[in-house]
Amino acid sequence: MSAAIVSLGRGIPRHILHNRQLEELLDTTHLWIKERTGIAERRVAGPDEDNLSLSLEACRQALRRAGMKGGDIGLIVVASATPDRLVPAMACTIQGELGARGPALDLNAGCSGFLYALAVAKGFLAEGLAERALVVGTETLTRIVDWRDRATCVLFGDGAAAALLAGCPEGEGILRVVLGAEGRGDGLIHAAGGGARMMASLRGGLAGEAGAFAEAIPFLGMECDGIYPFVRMQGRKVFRFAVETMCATLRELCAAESLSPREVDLVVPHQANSRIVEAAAERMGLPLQRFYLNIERYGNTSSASIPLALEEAARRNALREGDLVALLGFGAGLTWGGALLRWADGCDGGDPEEGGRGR
Amino acid sequence: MDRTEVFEKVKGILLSKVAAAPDAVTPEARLKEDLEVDSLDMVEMAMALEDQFSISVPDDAIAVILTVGDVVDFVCECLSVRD
Repeated sequence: MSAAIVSLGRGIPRHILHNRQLEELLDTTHLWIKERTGIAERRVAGPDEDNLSLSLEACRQALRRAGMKGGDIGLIVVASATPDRLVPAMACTIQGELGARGPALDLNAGCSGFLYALAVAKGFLAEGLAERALVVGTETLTRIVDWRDRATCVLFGDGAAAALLAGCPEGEGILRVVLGAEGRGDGLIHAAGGGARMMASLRGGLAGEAGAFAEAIPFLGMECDGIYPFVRMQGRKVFRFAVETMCATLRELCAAESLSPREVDLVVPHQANSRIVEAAAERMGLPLQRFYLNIERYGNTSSASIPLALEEAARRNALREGDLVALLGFGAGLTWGGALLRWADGCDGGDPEEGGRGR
Repeated sequence: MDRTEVFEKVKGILLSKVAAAPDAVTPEARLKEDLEVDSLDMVEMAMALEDQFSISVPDDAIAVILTVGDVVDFVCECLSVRD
């Protein structure tokens, strides 16, 4: 048995932050950002928005479009590198809010997270652990960037998107998934904040006010000075890794299915930088028009970027019944992944609340 | 491959990346200031050099390259081409 995407939904913050607004705050310009990244604006979660609210909106839209209710879902997998909290998994709260059943978990595979989550859900469905799953990619990256660092803060945006998965016969739906990681590149994209080590430095933690504990019991002592909590990235190395990985992953996916990359109708790549996609397209000898890009309006939304782009492609009729679709991702870890799908119409069935097919 | 051939190939790579006039790509031309090569163009150029000359172009090598002539020198050194 395989699994297919039955419907998609998205939840994006209300607030739009345009490059022009950043010009007033940083030593940068709209054109500089646009030329080097393809980004013009990004969504930013306001004080009343977070991963949970955006994910719930995305899941409810996917459910409506599939004509289903929360109770029809038996598995929730959430990919995020910027969870709202440490414990419990956001997937559990989403499950409770939706009235879904069955296992629920979060995972972090950097910007490849959605592809990892897709593979996990497909495997759980094949094991008979559930009949239908919601796979969510959600991020609030604007909360973990250093807004004084013009090289990184302009790149990211917030958002969530969800895919509803159901079992289908082999040879349909998700034909193949490939995943990989290279841990020796763990320092290329890095954010140390928010983890247990940093918690120890806070009031009440072992290196903070409760440091007296550590004096009495030495092994509890923690040195937490100098943790830089925000995202750091070695842009040039990541650029090269991304281009080479995208090409290799597409080749691997296609070879495994005895297909040529030229037979792929639409590539939905991780939206990190349009220049990465352009360079990869050139190396693969594929026309850029075959790559779906919406980075101009959303920036890099990490785990959410591929499903956000796929949802938009489906909604805007860029996908037709029987199309061969390749999803390609890469990110912190380093990690990468790819999925080859046979698109079935109705993947983005009508949403009653949006009137018809919800364009 | 001699130095002239290396230069012509390097010129071709640069012209495929930036909107400079062919005449502007001289050995003395500065990549950033004269040809408006940005940091991502540099990475793309490094990858193209690796493909076309079957050499390895590490990031620290890119960091010290300032002119078109520097690129040619670097490639020639990798290929052990003498003047």
